[in-house]
Amino acid sequence: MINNKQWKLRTSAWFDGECSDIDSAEVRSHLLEDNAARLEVQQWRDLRADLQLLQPDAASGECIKRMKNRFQEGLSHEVYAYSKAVRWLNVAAALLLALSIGGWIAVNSKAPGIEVYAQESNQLDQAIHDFLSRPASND
Amino acid sequence: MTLPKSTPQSTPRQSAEDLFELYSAKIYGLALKCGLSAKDAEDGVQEVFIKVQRKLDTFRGESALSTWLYRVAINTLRDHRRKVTRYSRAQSLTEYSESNVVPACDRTYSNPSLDAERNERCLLVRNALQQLPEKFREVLVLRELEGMSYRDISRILEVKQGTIESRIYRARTRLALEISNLEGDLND
Repeated sequence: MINNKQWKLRTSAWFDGECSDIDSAEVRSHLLEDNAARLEVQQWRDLRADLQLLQPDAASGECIKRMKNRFQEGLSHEVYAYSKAVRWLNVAAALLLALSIGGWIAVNSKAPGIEVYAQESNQLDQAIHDFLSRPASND
Repeated sequence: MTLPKSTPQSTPRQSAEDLFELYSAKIYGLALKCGLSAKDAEDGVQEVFIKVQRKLDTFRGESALSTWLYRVAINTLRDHRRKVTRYSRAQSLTEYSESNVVPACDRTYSNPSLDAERNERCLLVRNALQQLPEKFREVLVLRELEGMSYRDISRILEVKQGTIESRIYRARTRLALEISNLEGDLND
């Protein structure tokens, strides 16, 4: 048994030509019996006619041309923005690479320099003692 | 209108520029039907095709290209409309309305006495349509003004066909109510 809501949905679908042949036949006989349903369909017809008032005219050639120009400008802007982003990405990647290489070099190779070794204090004392104990030079 | 039945397999790879040539006039019409002014519709079309350009690589061929394009268009125009509405609220109404002419409601008919009457009716219907929630307005535009089938609408909006059926019914009921309310306001 089809309830009232289901009838309304089915009638709406029939109105839009979206019903099967069997459903269409059922809706038509329902409409013959139900005055309120017929009134509703008439209301939809009026609504459809009203909505057709909103149907716009086709876009003029001038309008299409204007939109095309704007679209192409927009596309070039997109390409420019993309290439700019790629350029910055390249710069960032080059910097990162340079920093990594620099870091690696700093860690793995020490520059040659003067190395100073502390002497043991007793050795120093001995050296000083030996130095002082030398006989004085004849010069 | 029925969407072309071309399947992705039979469609050669097209660029955004090719799609612009094929669909820009239709998308412009769709933007006007969605309630945008002529100027805003042009902006909307540009946004749609820039988005198409960005997203074309993500089109995986699960639906026809035209269905995919209409889906992108509906979503982009929805966002654009929200943006425009916010902007028009921020602007003074007179300042905004200068560039906000509704082309369909500004027509000259062969019989001049009909002009005012029809244009007035057109504005009333437009205003009533604008009062509807977005989901109702969209199905009515796609069904009544674009002439699409329930199946195409369900593919574009990514909603089940049964939902579209009930949404269209509810949208009609709601629109009739809005029109009747606006007529009542005019008569008062």
